[in-house]
Amino acid sequence: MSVLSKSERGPAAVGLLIAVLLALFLLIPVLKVIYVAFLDANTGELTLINFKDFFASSLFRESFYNSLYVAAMSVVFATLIALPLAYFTTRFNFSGAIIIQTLGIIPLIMPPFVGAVAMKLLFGSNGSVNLLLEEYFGINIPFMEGLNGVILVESIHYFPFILINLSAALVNIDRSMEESAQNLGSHGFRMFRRIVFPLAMPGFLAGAALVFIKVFDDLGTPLLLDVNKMLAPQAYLRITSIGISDPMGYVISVILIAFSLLSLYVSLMAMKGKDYATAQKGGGGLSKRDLKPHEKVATYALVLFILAVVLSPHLGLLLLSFGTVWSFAVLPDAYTFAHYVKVASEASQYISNTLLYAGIAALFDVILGTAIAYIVFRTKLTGRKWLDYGATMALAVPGVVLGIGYLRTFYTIDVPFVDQPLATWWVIIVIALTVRRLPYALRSCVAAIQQVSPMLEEAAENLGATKGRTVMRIVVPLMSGGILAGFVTSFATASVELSATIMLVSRESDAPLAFGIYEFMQSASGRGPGAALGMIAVVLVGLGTYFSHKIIERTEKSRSSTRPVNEEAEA
Amino acid sequence: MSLQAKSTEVIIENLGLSFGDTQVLKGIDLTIKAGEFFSFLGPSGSGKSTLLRAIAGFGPEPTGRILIGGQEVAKLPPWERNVGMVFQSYALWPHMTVAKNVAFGLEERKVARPEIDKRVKEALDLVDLADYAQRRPSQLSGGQQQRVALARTIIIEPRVLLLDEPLSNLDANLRVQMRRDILSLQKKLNLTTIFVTHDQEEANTTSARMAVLNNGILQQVGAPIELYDAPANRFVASFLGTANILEGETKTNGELTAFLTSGGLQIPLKQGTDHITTIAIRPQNISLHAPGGSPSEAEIRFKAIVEETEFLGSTLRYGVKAGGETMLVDHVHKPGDRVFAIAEQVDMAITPDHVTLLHG
Repeated sequence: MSVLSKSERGPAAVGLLIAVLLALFLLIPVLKVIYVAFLDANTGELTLINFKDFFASSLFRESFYNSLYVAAMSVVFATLIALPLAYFTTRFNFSGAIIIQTLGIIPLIMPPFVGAVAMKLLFGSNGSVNLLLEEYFGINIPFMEGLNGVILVESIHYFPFILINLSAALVNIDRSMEESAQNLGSHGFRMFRRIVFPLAMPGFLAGAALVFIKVFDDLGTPLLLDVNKMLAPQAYLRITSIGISDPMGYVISVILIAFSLLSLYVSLMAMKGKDYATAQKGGGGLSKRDLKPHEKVATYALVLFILAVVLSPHLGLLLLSFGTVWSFAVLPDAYTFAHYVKVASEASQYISNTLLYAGIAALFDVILGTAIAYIVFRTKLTGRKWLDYGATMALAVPGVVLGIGYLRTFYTIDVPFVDQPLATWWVIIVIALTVRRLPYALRSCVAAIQQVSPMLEEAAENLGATKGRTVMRIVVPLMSGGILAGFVTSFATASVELSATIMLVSRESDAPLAFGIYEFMQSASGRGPGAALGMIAVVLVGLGTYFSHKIIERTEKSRSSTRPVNEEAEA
Repeated sequence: MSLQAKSTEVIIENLGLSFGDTQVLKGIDLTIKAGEFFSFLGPSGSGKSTLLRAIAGFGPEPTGRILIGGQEVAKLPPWERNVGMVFQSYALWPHMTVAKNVAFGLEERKVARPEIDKRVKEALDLVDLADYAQRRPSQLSGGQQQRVALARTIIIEPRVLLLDEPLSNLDANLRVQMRRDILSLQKKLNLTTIFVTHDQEEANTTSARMAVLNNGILQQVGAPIELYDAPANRFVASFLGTANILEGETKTNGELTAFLTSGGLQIPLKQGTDHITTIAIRPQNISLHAPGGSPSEAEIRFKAIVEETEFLGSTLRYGVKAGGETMLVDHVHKPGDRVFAIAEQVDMAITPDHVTLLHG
C-alpha cells in the first residue's frame, strides 16, 4: 500500500517508532558485537583472526568444551528428573499429581545463581549432605566440585521446561494411538518405543533445546560457584578486566548467539509440522491405570525425593539467611534476624532500585507489547510482522551479549544534562531489562488480543468511535487481564535478571537486587545478607508468579461466561 | 418518540470488491427505498455479508459508489457513516453493563450526560429491557443480548439499520418471536433496514423486497412472491424452493412453439417466446394420475414411472421418470388420497402456464 489511509497513519507512526527503538537497542548493539568479533583490533580490517586466536588458546578451547559439556549434561539430568514425573502423571492414576505440578513451578521462582551458594553449603564436599554421608557411610560424593556443581544447580532449576513440554506432548497422545498399536499386536516397551516415544519426541526436543541454551548462556551460576572456565564467565571477565576493546569477549558472544539460534531452530523444527495433537473428542490421553500398593510406595518415595532435591536450594537459602555461622556443620550453629536487619539498613537501595527498574521495564514492555500486538493483528501495515519478529529476536540474544553490545555501542554516546555516557547511566539497565523481557510481555499481549473478537471493535466503530477511541475504550480494557499478566511476568523475571545488568552496573548506588546478591555472595561474611536478599527476591518472584497465574485464571473464567449464552434463561 | 428516524434511501452503483486477488462482489447495482425492509439472500460465500459490511464501511475499500441519502459514503470511515449495524453474535462489550453498551454511541457523539441517560432509558424501554440496565451482557440470555444490540444501534438514530444474520444464534421458537419484534420495531421507527440471511423463510416473511446473491453477483431483485413465481435464472429457481430444471430448446412449428427437453418431453409454450434452453417447473405444479384418465384442457400429460417416494409430512414427494427426464412431483397429502407405489405406471400432468422460462 503506497498511500496510507487516514486511520493507518497513527499505527504507522507508532510502528515506526517501535522499529527505531528495536533497531537502536537490540539490532544495532548485537550487530556491533558481531561486527567487532570479525574486526582486526589493530588494523580495523575484517578478519577471522580473532576466531583463530580464540581456538588457539587452550583456556578458551577448554571453556568452550566445558560450556557444551555442562549444557548437555544439564539436559541429561533435567531429563532424568522430568521423565519419571511426566510418566507418572500421564500413565497412572497418581494422587500426588498436585505435588508434581507444584514441582514444575517451584524452581522457576528462584533464579539459579541465587541458590548456588546455598547449594554449596548443602552439597559441597564439606556440606551438610556429605558430612552426613561421611559419618554414616564413610563416603564423600563430589556433587558440587567444579562443573558438577553447575550441572546440578542448572538441572534442578531448568528441568520444569522439559517436564512441562513433555507432559503436554504425552497428554495430547490419544488413547486410540496406543489401542490401535495393541490391536495390531504391539505391547509393552516395544509399543512405548515405537508409538508413545516418537509421538512425544517433538515436545521433549522443544523443552530440551530450551534447557540447553538457557544453561549455555547462563552467567550468574558459574560465576557464583567460582567456575570461570566457561564461555559466558570468560566473556564477562575479559570485558570487565581487560576492557571493551578486547576482541575475545565478542568472539564468545558470536558463539553464544550462534548456539542460541541453533537451539531455537531445533526447537522450532521439532514442533513444526509435528503438532501431534492426536487427542480426539471423547478420547483424551493415554490409558491410565491404578498403581499397586508397592508401586505406590515406590512412586511416592521417588517423587518426594525429587521434591526434596528441587526444594534444596530454597531450603538452603532460607537456612543461610537466618543462620549465624554455617561452616563444617550439617545445620547453622544458631539462628538470627541480623542478616535481614543488615539488608534493610544497608542494602535497601538494591530493593528500591529493583522495584524502580523492573517496574519501569515491565510498564514499557506491556505498552510496547500491546502496540505491537495491535499493529500485527489489527492493521494491514506492510512489514508489521517484522515488529513481532524483531521483538522476539531478543530471546536469541544472551544477556551477556546484550550487555557487551550496550557497552560498546553506547560508551561513546553522552547523555545531555546527566553528563555521562549512556552506557553507564542507570537508565541503560532499565532499557536492557525492557528489551530482554519484551518477548514474554509480547506473547501475553498477543494471546490477549487474539481473545478479543474484531467484531467488538467493529461494533464500536459502527457506533461512531474512531480507531483511537476504539483502542482506548474497547481493545485495551478487554486485553487488561493479559496485559496485567504480562506486566507481572516481566516485572518478576526482570527483578532477578543478572547477566545483562551485571555488565551495565557502573556504581553500587545504581545496582539492582540481583547484582546485590552477587556482590554479597562474593565474601563469606556477606553470604547471610546475600541470602536474605535472595529470599526477598524469591518472595517477589513467587508472588509475581502467583498473581499472574491468578489473573490469567480469572480472565479465562470471565471470558468463558461472556460467550453468547443460549436461550435457556428465556425458554 | 425521539427515536423517530428520517427514512433514507440507499443506492449502490456498480459496486465491486476484492479480497486480494479474489473478487467477491461484482458490478452490484441496487436501490433500497426509504423505509423499506430489504433482505440480502444467498448461500454462504455469496457475498451478502460482504456487501452489508461494505455499506457499514468494513472490509477492503470497494470500487463503485454507495449513496446513503444522496451522500457518497464509500470512502468514509465506519465511524462517520451513521449507519447502525447489529452483528451476528451481537458483539456486546463484556466489560460494560447493558446501560454502558447502549450509551456508547451517544458518548462518542459527545451528547450531554442527562440527555444520554434519558435516551438510554427510552431505548431500553423500547426493547423491554429497562430492568436489565445494570446487568452485564454475560448475565443475559441470547434473546436479551440480541435486544440490547438492537437498542445500542437504534439509539444513535442511524440512517440505515443493517442486520447481519441476527437470528442465526437463536433457537427456533425465539427466532420467530424475534423476527416479529424486529419487524414491528422497524415499522414503528420507519427505518430503512437491510437484513442479511441465508434462510429464505426469514427473508420471505420479513422483507418487502429482497436481492438474491450468488458468487458475488446480484441474481434478481423483487418481492418474495415475484421471485418465487418468476425466477430469472436457474440459481434463483432452485435456491428459492425446489424446482425441476429441464434443459432443451424451443422448436417452432408454424404457429406453435414448444420446448423439447433433452430427455424427449415436448411441452407447449406461449406463442412468440424467445429462444431459450432452460425451463423450470415447481414440483407442486405437477400432478400424477392413474393411467387412462382424461387431461383437462390446460394440461398436458406424459407417461411416467414412479421411482421413489418420500413422505415429508404435509407433502408426499415422488421421483418419477418420464421419457429421459427424472422429475420431482409434490402432492399435498390428505388422508385417503391415492398413494402411488414404486414402479407403478402413472400419467404425469403439467400445465404449460406453470412453466417458468429461465434466462441463464
